[in-house]
Formats: sequence, structure tokens, C-alpha cells
Amino acid sequence: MAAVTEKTICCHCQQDIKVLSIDEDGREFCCPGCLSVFHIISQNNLEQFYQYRETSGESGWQIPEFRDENFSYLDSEQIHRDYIPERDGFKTMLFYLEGIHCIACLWLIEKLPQLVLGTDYAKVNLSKSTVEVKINREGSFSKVANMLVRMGYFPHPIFKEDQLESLRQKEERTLLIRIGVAAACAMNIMLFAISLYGGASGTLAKYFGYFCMILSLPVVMYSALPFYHSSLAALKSRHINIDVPLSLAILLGFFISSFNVFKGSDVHYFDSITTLTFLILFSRYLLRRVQQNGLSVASLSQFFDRGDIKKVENGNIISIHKKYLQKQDHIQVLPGEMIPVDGEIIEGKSSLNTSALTGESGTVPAFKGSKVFAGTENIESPLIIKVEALNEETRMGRIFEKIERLHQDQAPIVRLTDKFSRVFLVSVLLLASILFLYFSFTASVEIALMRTLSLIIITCPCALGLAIPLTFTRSIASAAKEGIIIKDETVVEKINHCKNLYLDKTGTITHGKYSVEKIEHLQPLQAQLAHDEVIYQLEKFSKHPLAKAIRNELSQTERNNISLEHYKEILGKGVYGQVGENRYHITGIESSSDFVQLGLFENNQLVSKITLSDKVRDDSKNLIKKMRNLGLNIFMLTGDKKSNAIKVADSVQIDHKNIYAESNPEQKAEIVEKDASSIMVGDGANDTLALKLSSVGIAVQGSIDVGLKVSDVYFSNPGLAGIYNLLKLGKRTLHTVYGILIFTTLYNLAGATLATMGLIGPLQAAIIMPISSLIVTAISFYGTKGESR
Amino acid sequence: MNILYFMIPVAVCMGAVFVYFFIWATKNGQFDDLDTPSMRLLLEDTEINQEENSVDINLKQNRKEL
Repeated sequence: MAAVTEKTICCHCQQDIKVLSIDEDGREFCCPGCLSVFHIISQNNLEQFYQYRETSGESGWQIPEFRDENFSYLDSEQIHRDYIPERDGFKTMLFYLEGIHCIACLWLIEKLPQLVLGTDYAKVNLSKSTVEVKINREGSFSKVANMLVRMGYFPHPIFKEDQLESLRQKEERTLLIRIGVAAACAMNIMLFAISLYGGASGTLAKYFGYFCMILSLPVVMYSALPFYHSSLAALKSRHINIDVPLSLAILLGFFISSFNVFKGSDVHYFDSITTLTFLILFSRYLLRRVQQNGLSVASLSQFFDRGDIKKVENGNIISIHKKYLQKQDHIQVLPGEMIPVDGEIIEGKSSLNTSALTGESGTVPAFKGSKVFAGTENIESPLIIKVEALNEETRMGRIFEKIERLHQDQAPIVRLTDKFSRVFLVSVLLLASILFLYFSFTASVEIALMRTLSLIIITCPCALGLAIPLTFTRSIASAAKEGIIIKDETVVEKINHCKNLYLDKTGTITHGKYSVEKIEHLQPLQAQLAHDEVIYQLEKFSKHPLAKAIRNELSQTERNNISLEHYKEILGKGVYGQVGENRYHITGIESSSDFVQLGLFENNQLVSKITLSDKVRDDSKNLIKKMRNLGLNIFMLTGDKKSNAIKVADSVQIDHKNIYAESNPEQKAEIVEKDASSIMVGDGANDTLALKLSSVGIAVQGSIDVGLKVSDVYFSNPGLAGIYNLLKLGKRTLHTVYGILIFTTLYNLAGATLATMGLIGPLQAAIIMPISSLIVTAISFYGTKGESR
Repeated sequence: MNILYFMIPVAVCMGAVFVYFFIWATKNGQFDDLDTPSMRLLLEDTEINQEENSVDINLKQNRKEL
């Protein structure tokens, strides 16, 4: 076979091939996963998938890493009884899918009923990355899940025990109904209002007035309810938010207009207040949608938890769901898996990666009798563990519990718009009362009322209610396109005030897993072979994480496809094989807290040394320098040993006095909490408390579930690039908001002056108001233009 | 113009009927997912090889090998 030297493209995912798999027809794939997906697709005549994908404009994605999860627990009676009720002989279940992208995925997944017997339908929701599957009595959810895996998606079953999802759905629907009601009423009122402006008079005008009043009732009493609730809540806690002036404008506008109608005057503002309510509700709805789009992450936490547990029962291994595990049970944990519980090893010998819990980069040996903790990863060989603590009782669980508690008693932050609306409201009210009193004494109460009303209507806080949410909406949407998922729009504002950036070392500045640092060849091989090739062939089939790292490093080397015979892998020892007369094996020769050394032996003689360590990400140094130039102080927080911390700090140029090494989760949190303007970036469980207590907590890609839950921002691309982009985005957004606020101030000053002088009547006010709204909307679009491309 | 006194309430009532249907549709989940249906529209609704694919692909694989 020909040597593979030039770059080839995988037939399925269209990425550059690193690890080669070839099928019988000579098609080339990057990995066995892609190959199997391609076969599923072509065997079932689903090639249209590739056409759709091409037209969607999205190409070249990676399928999620293949994980061997046993879904048979989905068919267990327990689960069905507790979570999946039967309705008319059908059962439905929701899966969250990793690896879902575009229209082609939609098409492929909705073909499920034709691929798995007993499936009634599969309905994809692209914005939430979920699929709802309905099966009849012959169907099986585990078969569905396995098929999804083979199609190249990774399903996480969602159990609807917590009402969170349905509550959110209800809330969203209610908001939509409020918007619909407000729109319908506002449009109808507009019909009458226009004829009034056009000169309708007499009984007809009076009739129209009553009609407008009746039509605005649903808006004032139903659609605008969220404003009242929010302003009441704010006033109770002695705050003022944007909803206070809004509610005031709506209620005051309604009562004064009704008063006028009863009095027989046709000066009223029902059209203004209803349109305002509609527009503001609508802009909030948009903001909500864009926030939720990338982000079911808040509820993602449960997904990343592995559902299946291999329970050892009478010597057999059965797959059960985590919920049904009990203390004293024995479970099996394979290499590469997370240990789900606290417990004791009763069988097996392995090494563990505890970095998620402690932040240490090295591995820790584990053997019979060792205590293990939830959240650590088993590296080398299978372990049988006796369960001692579950869920909240585990060490990790206790940290999470503390976080949950913190979450409840956190004070809401004061936003820039809230500050502004406070000043705004006070000045408008002050001015209005002065105006009213002044004209009541100098002129008549009639004129006083008219002018006060014109003032309140014209200074209506449209910009704050409309343009600013819109600005945030566009910023968050454009951030999502760059892989920055923002959970809370206040972050965009808050991040500008932060001066100190705390970075976790393992997994944030570094890759968080071992990769090849160097390969030294000590002496030539006796056989006419390249060392790299032999190493590659030996490690080709191993599931060990170090083998994976070596494969990645050597993926570009020339391959002559030498034939390796008598291949075997002995867990905990190494890999063995033979080429012709010569025997080869790779085994560990040295390991310390920050590196591992493997040796390649030829006929028991050491010929090559492979050093692996947790390497610093390529772009870390450059990005840290850039962020320092933005005026940030960079700190490093790590649970790792000081010597390792200094080594990494030197390579990315972080000051030695800014290193906090050997800190446990509580210490990390303390450091960050003391600092009122801190951005914390981290990934592991040891960072979660700090993420929660920092001003802005950012979880990087690969973070554990709780990290996602407590952080304000989540990066779906690896590395630090996201932070830099986020900082820039924050600056731009803030400038736009400032622009809007400046315009609003000027407009309101001018409007207030004119209204005070009595130069603006109801008709002019009705025309000027939408124009000012248009202008602030235009500022918002212009200011965020560069971002949303 | 007296007809207006009659026509306007009728028009508003008709509007109310539409609002009612809107609320009904929303409560039935019609607007829960606004992104996917717009794409689903573009897909052809062809059933692919019904009888051959109806069961399990493993079955088919075996048949192929035979």
C-alpha cells in the first residue's frame, strides 16, 4: 500500500486525517468512528445526508469522541416505572445530543423510525440540540441510543423528574402570549388613534376613546404584568431598576388617558403605552431566546454525568443507572472512565488522575485498599470499587452543595442601566412635580396637567427598555458564534470593571492531559525500520490515554504499514509485539509529578525514550501578553506543586509573585473572593467554588459539569482565546450602551424643555417618540455591527 | 357613518377570535421551536427503501454478506 504522507481528507467528517482507517473499498477515514458512521449512512441509502450537509454550508466537523456507554439500563423496568410513563401504548423520551450541527443532522436523525424497529417518530430541536423519540411497545430506547451513537452523535438521556424544563417552557409560552395580546391590542388601538390624529371629532371621537381604553385594558392588566412584578421586587429591596420608570409610564399614561376619556377630551396615549409594552416585551423575548440558544448549558450539568454504571452482581456485570446505585454495592470502573462515587478499591491496581479534584497534574497510584473519590479518572486498568458514599455525600458532592447554598443568597448586581434609570426616574418625577405645581399656580390645573403629561410621555424610557436589551442580544449572539456562551448578559458589562485575571494552570493554561514532549532515539534499530513507525504501530490499538497522546504526535509520520505480529497489551505493564525476528515492547520507565517517561525496547534493550508531560497550550503565552496589554493583572491559581507552577509560569511569563500554588479549592475561592474585581478561569472541580465566588467565572472547554453550572461564561473552544475576545466584546458593547445613554439624555433634555414650554402637543409627542426609538435602535445596530457577521 | 358603531365591535370580535387561536396554538407548543421547522421544510420527504430498511441494519448486513 502507498505511504500516506500528503494530507488526506476523511470521507465522513472531511477533516485532515491524523489516524487512518481504510475500509474495504479503499475509502479513507480519520478514525474508526467516522468509518462506522459512513457505513451506517451508506448501507441504508442515506447518502443524501452528505448533499444536505454541503448545501448547509457547514462542513468539516468532528464527531464526538467515541465512548463506550452501555445504554441497556434504558430498558430496565425501574427506569420505565419511575420516569417514562406509557401513554396509549407509546413512550416518549428526550435525548440531548452531542455532535448535532445542521440541517443534514436533522434529516439523518429524523430517519430513525426507518432504522430502528418500533420507533414511531424522532423530532429534532436544533436550537436545543435535543431529539424527542417516541416508541411503541416493540421499541427500545437502548436500541435508539445505540443507533444514535453509531450515527456519530452521543445521546444523553434526559429524565424529566425535575420540573425545571417544563417550567421554563411554560414561562416562555406565557411571555409569547403576553406579546401576542399586546401586539393585537396595540395594532387595533393604532387604527382608532390614527383616525383621531386625522381629525375625527364629536361622538365618534368619544366612542373611539372608550374603545381604545377597553382595548388597552388587557395590555395594562395582563401583558405588562412582568414589569410590575419586577419593579415591586426591586422597590422591596430598595433598588430601582429599569422596570420602575416603565411601569410608572404605563400606569400613569393609562390612568391620565382614561381620566381624559371620561372627561370628554380626546387627548390620550393608549396607542403609545400599548406599543411601548409590545416593543419592550418583544425585545426581551429576543434577548431570552439568544441567551438560551447556545445554552441549555445551565441544565447541561446533568447530561455530562454518565448515566450507566457497571455494577458487579454475583460475578456478572450489569448496567444500571446511577440513581439506583446503593452503598456497599460493587462497581467496575474501566480505564478512561470517571469514578462516580467515593469508595474503596477491592480489586485491581491502577493509577488515577485526580486533577479535577486537586489540580495536580501527575497521576496517583491506586491499589487494593486505596480510598478513591468521585471525580477522579481511572487511567490504567479496570478497578472494582466498593461504594461508600454517593451523590451529595461524596467529597465532590459536598463542594457542590456549598456552591448551591451560595447560589441562593447572592445579591443581585446593580447594572449600569439600573443606575441610569434611578437618576432618570428621580429627575423626571422631580421635574414633573415642579412643573405641575408651577403651572397650577401660574396658569390653570388644566394646563398644568397637560404639560406634565407631555413631559412624562416624551421622556418615556424607550431607549433603556428597548435598545439596550437589543445591544446585549446582538453581543451575546455574536459571542456564541465565536464559541463563547454567555449565560448572563450582565457579564458583558461586568467584565469591563474587572482588573485581575486568575487563571487555573492545569487544563486552562496547559492542555490538562499528557502529550508528547520529546522522543529521543538512543540507538538505531537492528531491523531496517523507523523508531516512530514501530512506536506508532505498537500504540495503535491501545485505549490508554498515553497511547492516544503518542498516536496524535506521530500521526503525520510516514507509514509503510509494517506488519506487527503477536500484538498484546498487558494492562498496567505495556504493549508488546513482534516484527519479523525482533520483539518490541513499550513500557513505563519513569514517572514523576509532572512527567512520564516511556521506553521502547527492542529484544529487551532500551532504544527510545518517550517523554510525555502536560504541555502549555501553544497560544497561552501570546494571549496572556495581549491581555496584560489590555491592562489586566494576571495571576495563576493552582493546586499543583510550586515547582510545576513556576515552570509553567515561566513559559507564559507570569510574575512569580502572582503565583498561588498548592492551594486547595477553599483557598482558591478565598483568594478570588477577597478581590472585588476578579475574573476566574478554570475547569476542574477544584475551581468551582472559586468560579462561583469570583465577579466573573469562566469555564473553559472540557470543564466538568458543575463548572458549567456555576460559571457565568462557558467557552466551547479550547484555550484562552475566548477570554481575549470576550474582553474586546465587552468593551465594544459598553461603548454602544454609553452611546445610547448619551443620546437618551440629550433627547430627554430637549424633549423635557420643549414640553415644559408647552411647545409639544400630543400629536408631536406621538410622532417624536417612535423616531427617538428608531434612532436608539440604529445606534444599537451600528455599535454591534462588527460583531455579528 | 352610523354603521361604524356596529362594524367596529364586529371587527374587534373577529380580532379576539384570532387572539384566542394564537393563545391556543402557543399553549399547544406550536411556537416552542422556531428554528427547526424552517429547515425541515427544505428536506425532501422521501421514504428510503422501505421494505429493505424496515428492520435492523444488522440483519441487512448479514444478508449482504451471504
